[in-house]
Amino acid sequence: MERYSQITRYVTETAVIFLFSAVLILQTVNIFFRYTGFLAPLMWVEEFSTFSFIWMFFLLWHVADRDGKHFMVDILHGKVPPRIRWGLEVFRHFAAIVFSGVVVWSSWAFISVAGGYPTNSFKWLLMGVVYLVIPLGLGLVLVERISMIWATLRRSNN
Amino acid sequence: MGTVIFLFIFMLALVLLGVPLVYSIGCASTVVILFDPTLDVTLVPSRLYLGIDSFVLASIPFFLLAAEILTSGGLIRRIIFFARLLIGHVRGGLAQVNILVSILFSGVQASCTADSAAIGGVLIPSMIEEGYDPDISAVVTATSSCCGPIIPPSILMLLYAFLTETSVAKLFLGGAVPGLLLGLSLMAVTHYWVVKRGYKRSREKVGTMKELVEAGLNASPALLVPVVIVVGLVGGFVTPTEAGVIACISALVVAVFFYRELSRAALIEAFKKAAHTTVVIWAVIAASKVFSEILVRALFTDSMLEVISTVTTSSTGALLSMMAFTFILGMVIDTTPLLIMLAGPLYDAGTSMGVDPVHLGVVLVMTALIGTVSPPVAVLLCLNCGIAKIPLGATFGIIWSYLAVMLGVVLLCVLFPGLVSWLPSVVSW
Repeated sequence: MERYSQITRYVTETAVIFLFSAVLILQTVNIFFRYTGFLAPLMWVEEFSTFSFIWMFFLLWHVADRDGKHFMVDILHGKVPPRIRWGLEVFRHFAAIVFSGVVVWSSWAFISVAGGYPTNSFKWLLMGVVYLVIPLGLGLVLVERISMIWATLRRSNN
Repeated sequence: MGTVIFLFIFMLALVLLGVPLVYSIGCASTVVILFDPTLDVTLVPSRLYLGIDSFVLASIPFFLLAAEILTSGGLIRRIIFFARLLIGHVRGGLAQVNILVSILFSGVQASCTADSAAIGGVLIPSMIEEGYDPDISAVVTATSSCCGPIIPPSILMLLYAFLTETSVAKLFLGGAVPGLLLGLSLMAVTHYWVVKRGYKRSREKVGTMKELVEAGLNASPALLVPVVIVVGLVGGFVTPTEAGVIACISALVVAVFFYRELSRAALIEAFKKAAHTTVVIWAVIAASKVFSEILVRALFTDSMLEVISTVTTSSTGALLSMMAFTFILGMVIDTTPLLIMLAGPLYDAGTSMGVDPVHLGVVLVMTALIGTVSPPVAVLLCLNCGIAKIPLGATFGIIWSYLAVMLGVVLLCVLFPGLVSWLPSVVSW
């Protein structure tokens, strides 16, 4: 499982750096065009940027789970006995599993209803393809959390 | 209304059990949607997506990247050196330098946690080494970091602007005077403790003109980056996203060509850090969109207005009650998610009662920030106590004076709206 986490982190971070750099370069070129009048600004860059950042967000979501980076209020931690602390940890993973599971399950219905429309700038690209990142990203979260809850449960057995 | 009460209680219970905010908000909303026959479960993925489908929101990763590039590029060291030359000779100079650095650095960093970690990591050990007690070192660093997200440019203001469709330029300008006022007030209360505890100067005299000019010139390329952003936005020359892109390019030019301290590995790391921070912020925004959809359908704003109007009918009274509400929640919830959760409903209720949106935004951001240094949770103070290697309780002897002064400044801004609205009104665009 550790190997799986390393691979998914490497692949998603690489993809994100690529997307982020591409958006930065394209936006810079567009600003240059807009203010110099050298060429007309590329109209599709705005939508491409939004899609890229949305993909970046969903693809990296699971890494924030793995690293424990999400905002949380941890007033009980350290004030409760180890057994209850362990129970709370299991419960946190369980909550994340429920949420990500519902999103993965419901996003298929969402994509089948709303995914047939083309995007504004790329007529060949259906919104369904863009929306695919929702089950993909939350699917990664689901797997990550299942592995985390499994590790927590095993720690208790040991 | 029963649905909304259940939603809030369920969400708060999950929050208090330590479930990350994104899942607390998400799970509570999902359960309500699943059990309400009038709501379709596809609302969850659709609102998650819609919550972040915004070109304005795309400016946030760029601002975060610019801050990461400048931090990795050696800016902090230069600002600290400049500030020490400038005010290191006054009594308790290093404590005052800490506050001045936060004010100067604020325009670049724009996030109080990042600001605190970056400055505290350098200045807290130096302060302790120079004979300052760890409690004041941690408290000064934590409280002065609250100036950053108020003085422009500010990611929190940008978020509020996005969530409430308020002018980014007006919000940036509106935060300038209160931010500086907060910084000066913190300097005053620090001076009180410095005199009381008898701390010494960190330099015997002010730097020579030559030293000051050299240090100032060395720090100025990076300090010009936020100036370019604010002028561009206030002048209406660029959109927030374009301002973010320009900030990134300027930061790259400064770090690579002027400071020559940014390696390729550090640049890649900066991209990663900016992306990861974006994910954490956007996750709460996305989940809050699902949450707010339920609130809208349950006509929550109307109910909230009814509650507020039973307490007060004046706009100042409404603002004060919102301030109190935000402060109490801010004691347990971090600034960014708190702002994301509260901005929409409080904006609707506040503007209906005649509160100016810019005034409301600045007061809301300031109050939420004070919450991050207020016990029992005090996220920001805990971070700095960790650096100073002391328990949170060790700061209780002095934190109250800082909190009183900070709340006093917010109260001034509530009672005298001119402190917020003056600058946006004199700068035309």
